[in-house]
Amino acid sequence: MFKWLHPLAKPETLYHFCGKLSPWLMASALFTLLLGNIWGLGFTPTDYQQGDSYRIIHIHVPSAIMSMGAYLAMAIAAFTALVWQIKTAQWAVLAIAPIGAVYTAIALLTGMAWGKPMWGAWWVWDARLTSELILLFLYFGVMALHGAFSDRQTGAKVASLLAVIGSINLPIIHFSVEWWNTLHQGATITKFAKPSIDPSMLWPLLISLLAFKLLMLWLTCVRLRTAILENEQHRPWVKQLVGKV
Amino acid sequence: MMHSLSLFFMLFTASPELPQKLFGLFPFYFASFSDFLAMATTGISYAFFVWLSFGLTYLLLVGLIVWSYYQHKQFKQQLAARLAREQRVKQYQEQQT
Repeated sequence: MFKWLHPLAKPETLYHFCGKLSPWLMASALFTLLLGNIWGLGFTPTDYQQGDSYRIIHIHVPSAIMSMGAYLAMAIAAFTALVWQIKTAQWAVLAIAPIGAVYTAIALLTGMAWGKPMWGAWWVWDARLTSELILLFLYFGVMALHGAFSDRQTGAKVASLLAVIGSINLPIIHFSVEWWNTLHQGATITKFAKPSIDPSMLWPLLISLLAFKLLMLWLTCVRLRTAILENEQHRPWVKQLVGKV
Repeated sequence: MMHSLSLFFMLFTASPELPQKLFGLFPFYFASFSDFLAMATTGISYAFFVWLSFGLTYLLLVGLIVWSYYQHKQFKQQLAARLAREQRVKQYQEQQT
C-alpha cells in the first residue's frame, strides 16, 4: 500500500520532490489564506451576539485545528523514525515542530484577544486553554531536546520519543470541552454532525482551514530541504548541487 | 504555476460578468471601508481585538516563512563557501608538492 512512498525515504529524491512541490504549495496556500481571510473579514454577516469580534474565528479555529494536525503529523513522523529507523522521517520531526509551535501560539494569542471582549479575561485556567498551552510546551520540548545532546542521533531519538508520548495530549485537547465544564465552547465543526454555524460563515472558515494546512505543508517542504542539506552535506550529490549554485 | 494563473484568466475572459455575479452573491458586509476598519456593526467596536489577532497572526506567519527561507539560503551559502575554501586549500597543497 505504501510502496509508492518508499523512494521518498532517499534524501536526494525527497529533496527534489519537496523542491518541486513547494512553489505549488506556496501559491495555493497564499491564495486560499487571502481568500478565506478577506471573505471572512468583510463578506460574511456579523454574529448576532458576539458582533464583529467573532471574525477572529477565521484564524483562531484553523490555527487551533492545524496546531493539533501538525502535532499528529510530527508524532507519526517520529513513530516512523523510531520504529523503521528512517532518517528522513527523523528530520521531518524537527522540520514540523517550529511550524506547529507557531500555529499553537497563534491559536493561544487569538484566543486571548477573543476571550477578553467575550469572557472579560485574557486568560482563564480552563481545560481547553491549559491543554493547548501544554501542546505549546510539548513543541518547545521537542525542539529543545533535539539540540540538548552532544550526539545528534541521541537527541533526535529522545525528541521523537517525546513527540510520540506527547500525542496523548491530542485527545485531551479535543475532548476537554466535553469531559470538563469549560468556559470554552464546544466544537463547531465536527465530522459526524451538522455544523452549528451558518453556511455563509462556514465556507470562508473551511477555506482558511485548508490554507493553514497548505501553509504547513509548504513550510515543511522548505524546512525539510534545509534539514536534508545539513545532514547530507558530506555526500557527493549535495556537493554537486551546492557547487553549481 | 503559470498554467493555473492562465486558467483563472481564461475563466474570467470567458465570462466577463462573473466578478459581478460573485459580488452579488457575496456582498461586502460593511457600509464603508471605515466601517470595516471600525468592526462595529452591532454598536460595540471590536477593532482593537480583531486587528490585534490578525496582526499578530500575520506577523508570526511572515516571520516563520522568512526565517525558513533565510535558513535554507544561508546554509547553502555557507556550504558553498566551505566547499570553495576546501577546493582552494587542495589546490594550494597540490602546488606545493
